[in-house]
Amino acid sequence: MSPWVWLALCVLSGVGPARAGGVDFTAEERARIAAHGPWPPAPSSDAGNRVDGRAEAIELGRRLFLDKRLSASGQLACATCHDPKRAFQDGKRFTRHGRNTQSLLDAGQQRWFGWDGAKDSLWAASLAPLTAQAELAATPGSVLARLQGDHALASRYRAVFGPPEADQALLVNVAKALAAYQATLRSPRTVFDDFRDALVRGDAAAASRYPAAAQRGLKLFVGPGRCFFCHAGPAFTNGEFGDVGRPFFTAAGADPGRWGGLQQLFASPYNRLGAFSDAPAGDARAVGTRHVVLGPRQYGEFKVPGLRGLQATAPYFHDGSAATLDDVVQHYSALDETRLHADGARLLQALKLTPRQGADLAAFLQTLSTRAPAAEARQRPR
Amino acid sequence: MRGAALLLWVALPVAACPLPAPALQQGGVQATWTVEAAPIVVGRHFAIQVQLCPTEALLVRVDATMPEHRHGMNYRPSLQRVGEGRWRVEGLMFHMPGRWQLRLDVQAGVATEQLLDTILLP
Repeated sequence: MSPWVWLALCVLSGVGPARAGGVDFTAEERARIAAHGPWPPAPSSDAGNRVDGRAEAIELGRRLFLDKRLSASGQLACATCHDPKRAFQDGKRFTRHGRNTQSLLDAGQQRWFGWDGAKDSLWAASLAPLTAQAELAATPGSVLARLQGDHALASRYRAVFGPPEADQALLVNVAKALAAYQATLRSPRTVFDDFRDALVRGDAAAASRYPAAAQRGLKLFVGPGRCFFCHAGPAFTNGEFGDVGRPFFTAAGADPGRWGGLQQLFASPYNRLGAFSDAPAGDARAVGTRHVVLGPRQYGEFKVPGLRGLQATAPYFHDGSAATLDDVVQHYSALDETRLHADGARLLQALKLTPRQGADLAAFLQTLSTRAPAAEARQRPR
Repeated sequence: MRGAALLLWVALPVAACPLPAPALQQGGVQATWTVEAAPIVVGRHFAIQVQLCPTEALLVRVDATMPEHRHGMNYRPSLQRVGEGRWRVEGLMFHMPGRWQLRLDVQAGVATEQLLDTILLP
């Protein structure tokens, strides 16, 4: 049910604060909680990638993702930094860019890719590390040679794209197969989702199974903590960018964040408005690229990350400077407000949490990583 | 002020001037607007359809801001004239909940009028 309809029903039926396992949620808070679901969302397709959703492309992409021979050195695969055993990230503080490696779970749902949003599609985001000299450093010639040396892989490529040629389209096609695979990576349902759904359908018994500490933390999240301002929707991100008071100076100099990312986006021939996109004119998923604007406010802004599965994706923030969830909570509790640019009412304020409140907020965040019992059962070997 | 729950898509009929209430009005200009594929969702792009009166008036700019936070959108909407005073505006996106002020700049003759509306996004 749409959260709007749900809110309207609450208002019409005069539903006031409701108790769920010892915590009172107002109708407004319940509507905000409802807006964090349902999960999983409906599958979305990418018209800019003509092989998106095709089973044979997904399998080709999966194989390429794991294949170190795709790199010039033979030492790196996509999976080296986006390790499937680590929620598709590497657990390191940061890479040579000075930025933390982001998880690929739920990447298919995103609008912008990378901490600076320099890429507007999953395939463009895959092409960049594939060709970067300091990463896989693949060239059309090296990829063609790789295919010619592996009959089975070449056969899979031909089945998806036709005969390979040593041109830029070959690299783009490989990136699109990689993207087709990554678009299938979804984070599972969590105990939070079970709670959210129980709350929406008015099932107090099921809702009461959600830990009380997590409920108190959730009330902070959708209430005075105002976390939901940016961590909005089912994926717990509005998909945009912000400055949350983390430093943007690195050993290599200042990291301009979104400001630099947008300049890269506009200059790239691989954005959704370029000739390598397979979508017809007016592609709905290109609406952001067609209308996004660059402004000085965006200097030092970084992408608002989704929060699902975050227990497995430490360390946190764009520079990996928070080692634990408790460190993240502490950052927002003791936020240096003078560090933030704010013209009007401050969106971000130091939460000044008590130790118990901090623990509650962390308890809620942890439930975004705890598989729902049904999802857990599906995962167990039969 | 519009409650967001009321922003349901209704195809705009070709309106006769003056527009029936509730319409935005400033100077000699009136406007109504509706959301395509309502409701508006935080962090998701949306498009609106605008009906102007007089029908020969020009919609020259659409923008939205959060007055309390003194920031606007991260996107600049595009305007397409559909005909008979109707316009389609694409590329809007409210990236936070709260009070947004929608602004329509409309040129009618030599005057440019600014029509404002408020949207509350819970």
